[in-house]
Amino acid sequence: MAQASMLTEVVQKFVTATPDIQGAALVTPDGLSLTSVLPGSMDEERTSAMSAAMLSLGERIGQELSRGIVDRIVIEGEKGYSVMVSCGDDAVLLVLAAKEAKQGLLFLEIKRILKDLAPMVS
Amino acid sequence: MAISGTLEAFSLPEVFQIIESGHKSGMLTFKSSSKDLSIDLNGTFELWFEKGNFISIINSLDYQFLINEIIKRGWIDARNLFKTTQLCPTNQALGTYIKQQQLLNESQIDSLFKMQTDMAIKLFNVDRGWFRFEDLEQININTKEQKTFPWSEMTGQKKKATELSLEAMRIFSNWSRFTNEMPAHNCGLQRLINHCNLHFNSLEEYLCNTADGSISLHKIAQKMEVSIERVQRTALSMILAGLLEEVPEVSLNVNMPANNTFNQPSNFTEAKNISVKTKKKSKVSNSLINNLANFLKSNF
Amino acid sequence: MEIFKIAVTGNVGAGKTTFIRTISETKVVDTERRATDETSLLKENTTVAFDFGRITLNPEQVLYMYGTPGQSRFDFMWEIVINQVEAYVLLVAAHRPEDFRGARRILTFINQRVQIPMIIGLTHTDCEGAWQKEDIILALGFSANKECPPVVQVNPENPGSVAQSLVVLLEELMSVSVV
Repeated sequence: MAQASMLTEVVQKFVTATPDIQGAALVTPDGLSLTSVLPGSMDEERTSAMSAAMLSLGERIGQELSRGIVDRIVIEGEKGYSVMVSCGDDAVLLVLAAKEAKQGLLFLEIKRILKDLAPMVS
Repeated sequence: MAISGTLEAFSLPEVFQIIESGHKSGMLTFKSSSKDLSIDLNGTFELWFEKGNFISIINSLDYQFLINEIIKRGWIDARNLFKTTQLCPTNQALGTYIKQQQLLNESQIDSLFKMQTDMAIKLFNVDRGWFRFEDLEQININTKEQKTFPWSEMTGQKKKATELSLEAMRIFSNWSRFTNEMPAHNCGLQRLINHCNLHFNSLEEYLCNTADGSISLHKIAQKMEVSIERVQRTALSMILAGLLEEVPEVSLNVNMPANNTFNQPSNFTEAKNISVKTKKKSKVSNSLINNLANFLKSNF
Repeated sequence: MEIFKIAVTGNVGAGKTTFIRTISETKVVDTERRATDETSLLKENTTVAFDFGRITLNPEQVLYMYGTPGQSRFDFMWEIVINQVEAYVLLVAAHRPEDFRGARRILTFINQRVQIPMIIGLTHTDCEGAWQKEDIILALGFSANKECPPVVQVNPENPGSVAQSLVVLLEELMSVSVV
C-alpha cells in the first residue's frame, strides 16, 4: 500500500480540484479511515465506519437480490449526495457532493479517481 | 478462577472498582514487572481489603512494615513495642490496640495509615505487572491454613477502595498507558450510580452532576476553563472507577449548570436518566413465545 | 405474520455471529469484512453492518435475530438494531477481562435508548483465565444496588446451549411482561 501522505495528496487534490465535491474519505472495508478530507463538522471515525457498513450492506443486497456486482451506493438527499464505491478489495471510497452536482459527471470523476487510487491501496 | 490478570489487560482502578462494589474482603497480590527503575517497587505487594475498604499494604521484602516504621520514627522503643505486639489480641488491629494503650495518639495512627495509602497509590503508576485478588473466605476454603487479616500490619483505619483509586488518579502521571481508553473530546458522560459518599474535587463533582449524556467533554472544558486533557483524564478516572460511562453526545438542549453549583452537595438522588424508566412492555404474543420456547426445547 | 425480533450484541470476538449461525435455519446474512484493526489479532473477519438469522415456527410466526458489530465505531449500527428489537442478549467473553468495560459501555449505550428485556451470555467460560460470573457482573457495573439481569453460560458453537440461552431470554421477557 502506498504511503498515507500520497493517498492524502490524491484525495485532497480530488476534493479541491473537482467542482461540487465537498469531501471524500478513503476507508478500509472494516471501517477504519485511511485518509479523509471532510467538512469540519464530520467525525472521521464515525464517517468511516458508516461508509463501510453501508457499502457492505449494499453489496449484500446486490447479491441477495440478484443485482450483480454493485457499482456504487448513492444516497441522494435534499442537500446533496453521498456516494460509496469499492476501491479495489482493500478500500472503500466515500464522496460527498453538492446538490448542484451533475450525477453523470460526478460518477465519471469518481471512476477517474478510482483509477488513480486503486493501485495505491492494493 | 480468582480475579487475576495483567495490568496491560485490566487496570488497578478497575480492580479496585470490583473490590468496592462487591464489598470484597481479602488480599490483592500485586507484582510489578515494570522496567522503570524510577519507581521503587521491588518485591510482591499484598493489599488487604475489608468489605470493599482498603485496610493495609504489605511488601514481601519488609514484612514488619508497620512495626519498623513506628520504631524508625522513634515513637515507641523496640522492646516496648515488641511486648505490646505480644499482648495485642489476635483479632485486633495493632494500631487500634496501641491507641487504646495510649502509646500513640490518633494523629500518629493517621499518619501511619497515610503512609500505607501513599504506598498503594504509588502502585497505580505501574503499567506492567500482574495481580490476583483472593477472597478471604475462598482462601480458607481452598487451603487448610486459616488465613486472617494481617492484624499486626493494620492501623485499624480504612478507606473506600474507590476513594483511594480516585486519589491515586488525581496525581497519576503515566497517562500514555491509557491512550486507547481516553474518552473522545466529543463524547458525553452518563452516570452509572445513583448515589455515593465519595469526596470529589470540584471537577469530579461537576462531571458527576452533569453526566446525562448531553454535554461533550469539549464543552465541559470550555465551561470549566480547564484543559480538555484534564477533563478527559478526570472522566477516565471516574469511568475506570465505575462511576461514569462514556456515551456518544446526545443533544438534549439542556442548559448547562452554572459554575457555582460546585460546592453544593451532590444531587445524585435527583438522577434524571437512569433506572427510573420502566421496562417497555413486550408487544410479542404469548402464543409466539410459547411456540418458540417449545421449539427451542424440543429441537436442540 | 407475527415477527419477534431480538438482537445479539457484545464485544468483538464474543461470539455473536457464531451464535446466530449456530441456531439460524437459513444461511446467515452476514456482512463480514477482513479485520484490519486490533480485531485481526483475534479473528480474520469482523461484522461491519449486521448479521441476520431466522427461525420460522409456523407460517404465521417467526423469530428474527440481528447481530451487531462489536467495535464502538459502529455504535450507529447498535442504535439502528436496538431500536428494532424486543429483547437482546449481551455476549461477554469471560476470559477477556480487558473487554468487560467495553461490554459495560454497550450496556450503557443501549440503556440510554431503550429499556427492553435482556440477558447476559458468558462465553469462553472454560478457557484459561476466565473470571467467575459474580466478578464479571461487578465489572459490568451491577452490584447490590443495581439489579442484574439473568446470566447464563453459553457456548455459541453448540446449538443446544444457544437454544437454552434463548429460552432464558424468553422467560425474562415473560416475567417482565407480566409485571
